[in-house]
Amino acid sequence: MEKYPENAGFIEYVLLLLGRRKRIRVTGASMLPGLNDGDELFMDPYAYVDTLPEEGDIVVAWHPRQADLKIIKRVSLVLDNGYWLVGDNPAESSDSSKYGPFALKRILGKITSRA
Amino acid sequence: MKNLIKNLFAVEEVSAHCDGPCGVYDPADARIKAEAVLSMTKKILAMEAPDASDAAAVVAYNNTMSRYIAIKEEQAHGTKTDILVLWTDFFKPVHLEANPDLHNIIWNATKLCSACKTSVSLENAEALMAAVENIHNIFWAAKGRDVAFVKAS
Repeated sequence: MEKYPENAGFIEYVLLLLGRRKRIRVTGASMLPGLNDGDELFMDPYAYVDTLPEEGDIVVAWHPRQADLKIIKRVSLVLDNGYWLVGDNPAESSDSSKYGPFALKRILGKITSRA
Repeated sequence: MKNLIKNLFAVEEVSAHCDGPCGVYDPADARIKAEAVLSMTKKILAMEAPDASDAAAVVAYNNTMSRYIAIKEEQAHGTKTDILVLWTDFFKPVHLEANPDLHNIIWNATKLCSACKTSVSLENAEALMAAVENIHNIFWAAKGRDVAFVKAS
């Protein structure tokens, strides 16, 4: 069973005020059934400064082929040469199965909660 | 209160889309997989069967051989899928006018993918690479760009 972000507690809103969280809105269906089109989330842009992504994390990353497009995916595997990112709804997802592993520098942050 | 705080900050959209709005195609996907087919074919042909009395060596040999075959099978099928996606989703009638033999080229390339699955043939694997290179050239010419066919291996 995939883990989905829980509703943000007050601390998350304090962290937003302190610039430690960003507001994110999902568009599209590749993260169904847990994340719907239009869902609002909080992302920690500093999550991977001191630690590395782990399997199961939901992350925001730069699209490998389309400049300025940010995508939301789940870390499926941690590899020697990067991170295998997939959508929870593979039928509706362009991800590592098409583009290969993502380098850490392309991962922008970790989803921490539902706003 | 939470909404008040939240609305002080702009919301950023992140995409959870499929191929539809992406519209990004690249024959590199097929090239990487065809290279894997060629690599696995070479590895299979280079394998030496161990002495049948050495049970551990036979198990290791069978395991390695099975993995090579499985990867060749999977990557050949992936090459076929990537070529067919270019054919059905990227190429348009205008490209067919510039390349009247396009359907035949695609048909032969995808047939080669099948041949690489059913055989262990260096000739077929190299022919598949050449076919993918040809499609690469047609693809980039259609986009008006001169992109070199660079191999990873």
